[in-house]
Amino acid sequence: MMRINWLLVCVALIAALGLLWTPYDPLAQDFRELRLGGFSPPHLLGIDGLGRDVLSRLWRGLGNTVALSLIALVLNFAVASMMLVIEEKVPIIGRTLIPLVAAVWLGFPVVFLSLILLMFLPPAGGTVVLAVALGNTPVSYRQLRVTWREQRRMAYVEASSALGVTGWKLFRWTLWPNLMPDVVALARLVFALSALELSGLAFLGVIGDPDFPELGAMLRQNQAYLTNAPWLVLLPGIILSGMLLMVHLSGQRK
Amino acid sequence: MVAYVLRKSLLLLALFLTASALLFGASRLALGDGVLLAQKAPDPERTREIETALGLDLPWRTQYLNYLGNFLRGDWGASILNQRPVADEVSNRLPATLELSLIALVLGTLMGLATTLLGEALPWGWAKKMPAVLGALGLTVPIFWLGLLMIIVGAVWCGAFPVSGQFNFMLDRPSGTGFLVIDSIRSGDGAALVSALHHLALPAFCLSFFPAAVVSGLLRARLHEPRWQRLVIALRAKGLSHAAIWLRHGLRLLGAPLIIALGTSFGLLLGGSVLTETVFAWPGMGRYLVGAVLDRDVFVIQYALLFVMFLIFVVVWGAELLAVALNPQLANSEVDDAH
Repeated sequence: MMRINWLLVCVALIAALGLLWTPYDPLAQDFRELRLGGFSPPHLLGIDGLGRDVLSRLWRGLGNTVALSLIALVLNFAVASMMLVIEEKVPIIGRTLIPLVAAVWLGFPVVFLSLILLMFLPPAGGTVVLAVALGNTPVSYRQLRVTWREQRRMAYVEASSALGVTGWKLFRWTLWPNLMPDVVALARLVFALSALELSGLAFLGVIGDPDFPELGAMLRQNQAYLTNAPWLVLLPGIILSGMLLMVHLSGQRK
Repeated sequence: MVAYVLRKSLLLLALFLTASALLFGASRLALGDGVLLAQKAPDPERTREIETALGLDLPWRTQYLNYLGNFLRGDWGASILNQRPVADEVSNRLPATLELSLIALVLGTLMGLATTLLGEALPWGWAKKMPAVLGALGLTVPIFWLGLLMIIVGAVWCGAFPVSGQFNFMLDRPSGTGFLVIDSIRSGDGAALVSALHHLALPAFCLSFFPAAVVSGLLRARLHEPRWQRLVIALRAKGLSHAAIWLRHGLRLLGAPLIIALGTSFGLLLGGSVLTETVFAWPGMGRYLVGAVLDRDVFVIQYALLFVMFLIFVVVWGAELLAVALNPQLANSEVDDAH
């Protein structure tokens, strides 16, 4: 019986809604309201320096951050599991080389990796997602490796394979139920890291379009209003931290 | 022991060479037909001339070896945009970044040690929860936003700290090593020291959360290992005092993995300092690198980034050596216990 994680469902629904619908177009400027602040009915959270609805931008920004982080997460797990498969199938290079590469790779920050990629790729969302995914690959690779090695040697796996269960079936029905809790916990961690790094890179301005509604990019644009309208800087961070806190709490055992 | 050190060193060297080759490849990919495109009216004669001047007509292997040779000799060329020598720019900015990162590292390590050890020692529930809170903070609050928050609260609302920058430009900047704090102490200029520390406080505190989370996470995991707890019981039974256990055994057994973890996180700290530098307008390497990449200044990036990589490798290498000096057992262990 699977329990539904309501906290996660809530985050996902709110983020998805932001991608599909927002009260205003997050890029549309309202020239009648060229005034910071004014938390009034037409614009519940006011407008930003360029006359755009803050609530809509935050909402779409949350959706974009979550969506891009999820893509990075999937890519990250794909590469990490590929590395594990290579290690299993080709033990000669796998056993020695891959763990060491991962050890050094781990100490190489995502920011610098993205700078290398940005040398020959355009500054755009895709490049940033790729950098974030590859930058965190050693994190997930190492954790997946520990979990995998621990479970693979257990007696229940041996018992199943002695009964003739092999290949995909062995993985899916014998190993996976025991791997899953660790994989889900890891996914939470990598998602959080991805979201933080992604918005960090957007904050640095390497995401290309400065108007792209993303929480980090919004912080970058609103930094100029730090003294006049501090909420423009506070809100995106609160939304991002709040979302990550909910994801974090959804993983805590009751 | 010697074999272990030698093996680690050679492997790290091989990895550094691989990384430099990748960076070289990326820079050549970035360059593409740049020489051709940079001219208003492409002229084959002129193109060949420029390529010869830049050494781009040589075979790839020679180019790569030249690249490494130039790097080691410190002959890093100049920016293609403003003709400023890369080596000068880096040596002007590096001290600021290192000063910020190292102070954050020390501050963060102390913070991590303090929260974890106090959490172990104090009987109250909230003290025990502190390391977990610190860890959760690291995974939920973006560092650049934390910096902006500190600016809003500490600088704008309270007015207690300067908003940005490294030094009060009304004062005379002490010269020498380039490390402001060291220079002001050496020149005995009290006002300069106060100004340097005043400017350093917010960014260093902001950046220190990251090493603090690393230290407290690692230490907590190690302290709760049954192996360590059994050891403490055995040592207590032998009659050792708590202080002796910590100094004689704790330092060795917990210090070695801690040093390796800090060595690994040095690179990540440099990455974090790119963000912190941007928030606090800190005149360091991070902004230089980001700016050069956005300008597609390949000639700056290929050496400046290689230098940062080199620095990361040297620190990781130093941490490995220090760890094995502290706990020689590491050299014998089959599995890489520290990682």
